[in-house]
Amino acid sequence: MPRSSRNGVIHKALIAVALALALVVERGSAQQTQSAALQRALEFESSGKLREAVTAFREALADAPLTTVILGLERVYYQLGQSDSLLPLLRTLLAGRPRDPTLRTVQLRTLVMLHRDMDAYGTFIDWANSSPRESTPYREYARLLLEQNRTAAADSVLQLAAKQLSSMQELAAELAQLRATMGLWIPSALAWREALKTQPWLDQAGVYALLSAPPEKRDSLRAVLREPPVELGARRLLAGLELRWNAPTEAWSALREVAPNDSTTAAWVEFAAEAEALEAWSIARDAYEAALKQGAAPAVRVKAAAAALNARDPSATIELLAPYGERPDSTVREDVALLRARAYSSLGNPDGVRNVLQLLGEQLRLDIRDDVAREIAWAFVRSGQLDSAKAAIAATGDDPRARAWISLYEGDLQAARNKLRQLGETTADAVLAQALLSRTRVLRSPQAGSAFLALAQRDSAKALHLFVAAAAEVSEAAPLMLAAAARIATARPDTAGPHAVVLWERIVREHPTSPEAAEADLEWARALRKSGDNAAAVARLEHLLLTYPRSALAPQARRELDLARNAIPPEP
Amino acid sequence: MSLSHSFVRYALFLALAAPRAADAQHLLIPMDDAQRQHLKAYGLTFNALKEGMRAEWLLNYRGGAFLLPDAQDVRRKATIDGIAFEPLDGAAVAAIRGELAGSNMDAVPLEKAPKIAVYTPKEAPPWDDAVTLALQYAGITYDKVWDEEVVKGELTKYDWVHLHHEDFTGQLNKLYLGFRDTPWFVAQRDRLLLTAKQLGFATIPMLKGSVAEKIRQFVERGGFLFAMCGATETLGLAIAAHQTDIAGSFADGSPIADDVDAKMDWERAFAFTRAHVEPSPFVNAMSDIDGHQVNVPARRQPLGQFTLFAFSAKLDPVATMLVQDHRTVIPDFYGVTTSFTKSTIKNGVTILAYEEGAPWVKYIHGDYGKGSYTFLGGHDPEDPQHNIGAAPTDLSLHPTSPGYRLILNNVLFPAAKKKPLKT
Repeated sequence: MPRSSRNGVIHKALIAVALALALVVERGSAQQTQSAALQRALEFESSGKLREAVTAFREALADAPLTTVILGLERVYYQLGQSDSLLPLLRTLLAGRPRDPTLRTVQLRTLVMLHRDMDAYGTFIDWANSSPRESTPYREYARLLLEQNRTAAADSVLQLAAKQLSSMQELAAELAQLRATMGLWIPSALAWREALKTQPWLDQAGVYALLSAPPEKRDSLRAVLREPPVELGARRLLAGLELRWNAPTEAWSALREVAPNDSTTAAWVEFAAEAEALEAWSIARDAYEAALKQGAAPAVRVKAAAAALNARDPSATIELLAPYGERPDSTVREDVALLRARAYSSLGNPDGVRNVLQLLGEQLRLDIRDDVAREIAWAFVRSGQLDSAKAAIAATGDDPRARAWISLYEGDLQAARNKLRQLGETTADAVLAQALLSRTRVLRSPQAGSAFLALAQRDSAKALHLFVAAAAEVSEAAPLMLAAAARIATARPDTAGPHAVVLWERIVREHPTSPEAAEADLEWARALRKSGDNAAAVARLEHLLLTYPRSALAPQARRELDLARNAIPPEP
Repeated sequence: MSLSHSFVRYALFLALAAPRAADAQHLLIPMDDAQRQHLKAYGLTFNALKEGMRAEWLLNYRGGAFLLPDAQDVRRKATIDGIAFEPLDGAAVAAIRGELAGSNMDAVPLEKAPKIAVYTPKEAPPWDDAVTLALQYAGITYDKVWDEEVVKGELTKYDWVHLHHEDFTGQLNKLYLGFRDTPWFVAQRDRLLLTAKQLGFATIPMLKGSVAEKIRQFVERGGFLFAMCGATETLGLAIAAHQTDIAGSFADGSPIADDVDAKMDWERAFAFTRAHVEPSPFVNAMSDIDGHQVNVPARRQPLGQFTLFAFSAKLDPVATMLVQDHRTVIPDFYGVTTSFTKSTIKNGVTILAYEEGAPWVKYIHGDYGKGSYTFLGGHDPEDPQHNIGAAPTDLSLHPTSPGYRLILNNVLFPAAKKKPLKT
């Protein structure tokens, strides 16, 4: 959403809330007629008649709640670009109520916004002097300064607060924010820990404040937040950080140690949803399971089972769904049936899918029932029984998708070409298959078909070898097959390294004019850089940029080159 | 196909990509919006000079373009770094020269790559300082020198010296107030104290005062000095305070001298005069030289934008070189010293960039003895706020930065062959 329209939406929402609040305040009071001016002001404001709104708000000063009126005037004057017009009124009102926090805050905010720094400072001093034991003046001024990245000034304010106030507990969050802005990561983490004890809703603010800590500080931050006693606030903060540092396992490890209770269970469910959003499926499953053990809502069980399936653990999915029994109730029936069918299909267990269909088929919506039925054929595919898969398709009704893929798995490239094109699928396997079929005129390639089948069976080791072997069968698309094998090798920890590099090197040397050559050069260079051989990586990247200067990968190669030459700061 | 085929392909590409290449004698490196790698273009030119080639800086022509010989190595490096270049034959070069002659433009020959030193601790990463960031990104080599080398007189080995946010008054930018207990501050102070003791100075202010004097002598004897951020202001203060104590007791154990303003010897300073020294250890400012006073809440001024002056390329080539850019109005950026108050600048100092209607300027240049100096306020042109602890600037995200171009103009201008002025 564009910022202007988003601001518009927020603005309208604020007006609606203000209107509702005003009405609530007024309702039941004996002065219902006296709120007319305020109501008129809010209506003028929401319809964009700002000058009329100013007049009405000023009229409302006589009888409406002061806070509502002043905040309304602040909004309207701001939109008119006349914020300074509010200052004389505030001065008048403050003469009678020198300690009113709303008036003081609005005055301070207006002065800071107008860059009248000396006046803002004077206002803050007046306010602090008139409320000697209150933390509010310090908090509001420090927040405003921090919002403007005026770190040193905010530091001075908080140092003054430390001298003047008996406790800094109420300013712990501001102190934490300030320390983070100053790069004092450990003191900041300590202050956040303190703040979260009384303001647990600030955990996300803590995460964003500490997120930019340099990598070398992360262990120290972990130590501070893991320090006993184990507290939910500190651990939620740490878990949030670990998730964003791409360390979901460590994140869950931090959070699961918190003693279980209702708040902890809710935090685990929230955490699981965050992990799902980052596609950390197995961590999401663990967190959901932990919450289930503490009595989380039954719907969480379906989420846990889905996360397990996405984590490629279909056995766990079946196990998690077991408590629903053979005939789950209607609220979860369709989800449970589909998840069970997909889990059995992933396991290559067509009987399991058939059983789901038999037990629940009659009670499912027609489209869900068809989805479940289609999994029978896929279960046969994953167990390598292509003839049975074809028979299952014939028995359950046509499935163009399964037919197209089975043609490919059988190595019948001619048949697969037309069928797959019509599907318009955009999964990684489909894109690779389409690329193969458009690059070769070969009619049959059993090796290529078996390689794709191995991918469907999630047997990447077998797929890797079959793609390499297929390169000989489909010579026009040989670099494509080798690149597919190399990508698998890169992703597999046991074969990454020399094996992948050998394949990338083979593409560069044997197929230098192929579309994969630039990628091969880049990946080869990355592997060299990863192994610490920067000089060789530089040579490869220069080769790429000189040989394929118009490649879409040239910008990436230049960035890698800058990193290899130490021309830019290392990536965190 | 073997790797040699790849080089054949490369040669073929060059032939196809540049139809006039066969006749070309020069490569024009445009520095206007046709260029996508302005900063690396300085490195290309610098390294061509370093390898013994001659170059020309075409002032005010296409954003301050460079004319280099059409050498295979130059093309190779430009292609690798993505630097735009245009092969030119003799007739095209002659046409450009005709255009230069008839406009406010000129061609300045560049002859020799200057030998560069950056005043920075040996262990400091290049990402701490905008100049080392720019040099590193552009591929320009430099040496690091620190107190020991300067005190021993090793600056004479170099043509060009850069200073950044060092506090030459020895008060560590008064960060003592906010950071006295932080490990990095304690380590920095301890390291400086140790160096001071090793070199025979009792305090950090005495050590830094001696270093400032050596830098002054370096310029007086013909060196080029480029300073940014707090070094601009504190170098002037340290030089002018050679007979008085301007450091607070937290820095050297003794209070600041009474009536310190009257005891400053501004005659010896580079650019500034009659500045008021900030005596309070609790006010995070050194003097009134800085117009923005970023760390003093009640004095801090907001950032605006600064405008580069247009000079006569033929009459004032040095100032023209220093302001070559593809933008003339540039967003301002904070530093310990962000700008220079006009009332504290000596007569005769050339103002290179100013802010419309403001009582300060951003970028100044002047001659001193046989040498010259250039001061640019602010810390990092692409990090306007520059908060302590912020991630370092990645220049691959700002390859056309007009602010960083000002820094690199300074690196290259000592390479220019001096022509007698026509006035």
